[in-house]
Amino acid sequence: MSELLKSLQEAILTIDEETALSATQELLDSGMEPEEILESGMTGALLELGRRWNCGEAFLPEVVAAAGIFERCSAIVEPALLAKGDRKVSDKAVIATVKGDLHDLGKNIVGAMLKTVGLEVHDLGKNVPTEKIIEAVKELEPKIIGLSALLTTTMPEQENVIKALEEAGLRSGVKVMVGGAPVTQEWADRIGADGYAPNAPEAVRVALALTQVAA
Amino acid sequence: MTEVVQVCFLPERLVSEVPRGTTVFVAAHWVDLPIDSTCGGLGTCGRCRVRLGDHQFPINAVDREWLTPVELSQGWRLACRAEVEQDLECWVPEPMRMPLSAIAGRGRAVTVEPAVRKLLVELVLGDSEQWDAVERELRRALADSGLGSVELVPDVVQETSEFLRDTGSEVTLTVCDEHLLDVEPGNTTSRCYGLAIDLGTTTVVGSLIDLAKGEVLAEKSLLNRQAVFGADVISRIAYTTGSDTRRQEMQIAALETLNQLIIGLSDESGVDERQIYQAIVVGNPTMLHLMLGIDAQPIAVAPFVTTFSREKDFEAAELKLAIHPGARVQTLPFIGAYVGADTVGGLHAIDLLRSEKRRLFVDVGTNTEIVLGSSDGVWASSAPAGPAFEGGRIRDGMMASEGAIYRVKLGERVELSVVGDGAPKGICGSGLIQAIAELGRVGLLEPSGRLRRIEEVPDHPLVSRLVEIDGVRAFQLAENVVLTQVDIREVQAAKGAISTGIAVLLETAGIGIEDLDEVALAGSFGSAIDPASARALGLVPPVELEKIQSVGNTALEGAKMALLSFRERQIARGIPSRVEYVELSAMPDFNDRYLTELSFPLEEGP
Repeated sequence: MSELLKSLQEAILTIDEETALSATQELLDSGMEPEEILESGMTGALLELGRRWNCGEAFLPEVVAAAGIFERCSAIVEPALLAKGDRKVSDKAVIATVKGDLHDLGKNIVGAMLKTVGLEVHDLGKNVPTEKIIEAVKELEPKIIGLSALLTTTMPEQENVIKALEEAGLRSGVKVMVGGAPVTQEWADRIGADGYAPNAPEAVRVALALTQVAA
Repeated sequence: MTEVVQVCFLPERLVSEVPRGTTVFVAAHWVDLPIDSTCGGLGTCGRCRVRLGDHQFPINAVDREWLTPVELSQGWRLACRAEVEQDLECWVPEPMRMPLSAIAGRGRAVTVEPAVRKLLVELVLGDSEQWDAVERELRRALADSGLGSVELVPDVVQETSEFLRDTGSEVTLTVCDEHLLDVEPGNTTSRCYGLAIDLGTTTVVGSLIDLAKGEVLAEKSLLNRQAVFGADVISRIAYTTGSDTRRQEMQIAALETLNQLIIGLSDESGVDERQIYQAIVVGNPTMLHLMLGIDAQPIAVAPFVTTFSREKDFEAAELKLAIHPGARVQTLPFIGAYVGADTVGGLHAIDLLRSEKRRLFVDVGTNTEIVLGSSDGVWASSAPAGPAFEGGRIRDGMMASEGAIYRVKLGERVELSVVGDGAPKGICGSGLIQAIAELGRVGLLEPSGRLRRIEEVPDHPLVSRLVEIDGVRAFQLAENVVLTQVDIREVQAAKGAISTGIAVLLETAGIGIEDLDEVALAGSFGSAIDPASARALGLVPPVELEKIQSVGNTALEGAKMALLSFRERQIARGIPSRVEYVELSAMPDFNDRYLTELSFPLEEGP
């Protein structure tokens, strides 16, 4: 990996926005393919962030700040991608905190990170009724939806959304991911979700895997 | 027909017969064997580890998350995931023991004027023992005592006319509020008792009081039998959602706990349960909903409201409580969905609303209640702190029972205080807070919550205590007790919620930190916590140490006061209308505030 790519990753991880932005610009100027900057540079940093999160090394403020830097770095790369003209229309992701739940910190972080890996993210907000999610799926035809629930009492809403998708005949066209503190892989399997992640960086990895399968 | 299998729990050899497919966790519950758990069997806390006789028992994906391959090969599994298909032996490590809890709290002296009164009267019946004559005489006797408005219950009149045939006409009437509860032959005025109960999510505390003398006769605490359905209010509510049977099950568990407490109190004091005529029960809104069998679901989903919020008044018989069947069981009202009758009791006990002193009242728990104010105005809120302070989601966390480290002092070496003075087995909330504060003080922890690396502090006297376990950095407190970086993050998340709540209330009330006259730490945890450590972690604002006071179980004190004096109960009932409830989760900038409150102030020093 080039020194510059390394310094981009390091800058993201140490929340050094200035260096991260200038490294991104320099990489572009040096002629590196924009996809490569996104995939090797930023996704690499994302994976490392996930590792640090799991062992407690990184914490919420760092992850939120890193997500912000990700967003602004990808904004620098974006015009180059478009200019190349061979950028395929982005896959769409719809994310929401389910009905009855007002916790949106985790969902917001996932949203910011999904944008950086090239997904077009539609964030429906928090306390979102199932009907609104179904409407959004009909209208936007996303590849993937992410449902967050932070309370044991609102987890069943994730299942309700999946059932409603089935009833509306939309289930086969979309991948469903679930997350939130009380959510487990076991729960995800039980309600028939396609993916689960215990933290934001991992969610991005799972989302990418699911959209690529779906592509 | 469902096939029945047997689970034999060792070392007690308790046998539980359950339908095939039942989990070991539930099987233990059937025979009243407590298994440690903070998630209530959802498979998310990893604490309910048991060792199965069958080492080949199927391994669940969740087992792999919490147990090492060696442990798995030795037959260790999570009880909540192990579904029993055939007869099985199961060894349960150490059943959760009763945690230490604060029984007494700071209260105020009250004039003894209970709602329960015993009156010695003479019924003048002539030769007639007829029902109507008895009724007429009872009415007269009550009216003579200024109690003309008291209701007569047909059963009581009937019983009276029956015993009057065999006894003299001197009787003792028992009245509570507007109810005539009992008529006893002879003079029983000296035997008049009441109960004050704090129905907590984890611990239930009760006080048996002699209402004639205003004295406490016995106090006891027990674990809430609902614990098997989940450690916190949200998981209890989740369990009852959409099922009347489960709601009843939950109600029965609460009432059984209360009856167990009542039996214990009456055994200890020698008081006849039938002479207990009133019970004042306080608790958080969820506990009181569940105890009364009332739907608690709205508490646990946005917009977070209670089904009822005013005080309730029941006859003991309706709740099948083992005291006088006509006894009145009364609750105190709620301020909000997460600020309940326990807080109302606490505020009443310390007289927060009528004092000019500007005080901050914090009752630290899974749900932390925060109240700020004085006679000039009062604001309340609650913060979801999670189970970290009860040892939940902490690697070596445990409740404050035997073997728990509850004090930590760092210097040239590590000094620990352990409950029961034996070998340390884990760490409880107060130990956790002090360990983190001490790590900060000796320079091994940054305010951001990051533990320093060995390379950063090579000459530190405690450097050999910095270890790494499965890729996670940690501080070795004792041979088998560590405090990991992930544990510290859990405490930060909890602390962040509480200090956000405090900051929001101070701002809403327009009260500066320097204007605070006192910070009152309530509850079991509040009385165990070291004030300097609480301040170093930012659990309380940076005030002078002497302003931080432990006030103990003020909820129970408030209930006692309401029991001892009907006037005090009146005043307590009026508290919610004078408190403004601030809902944190509805604040648009909550996330940003929360993120800034995650770091520790920490105080480095000698």
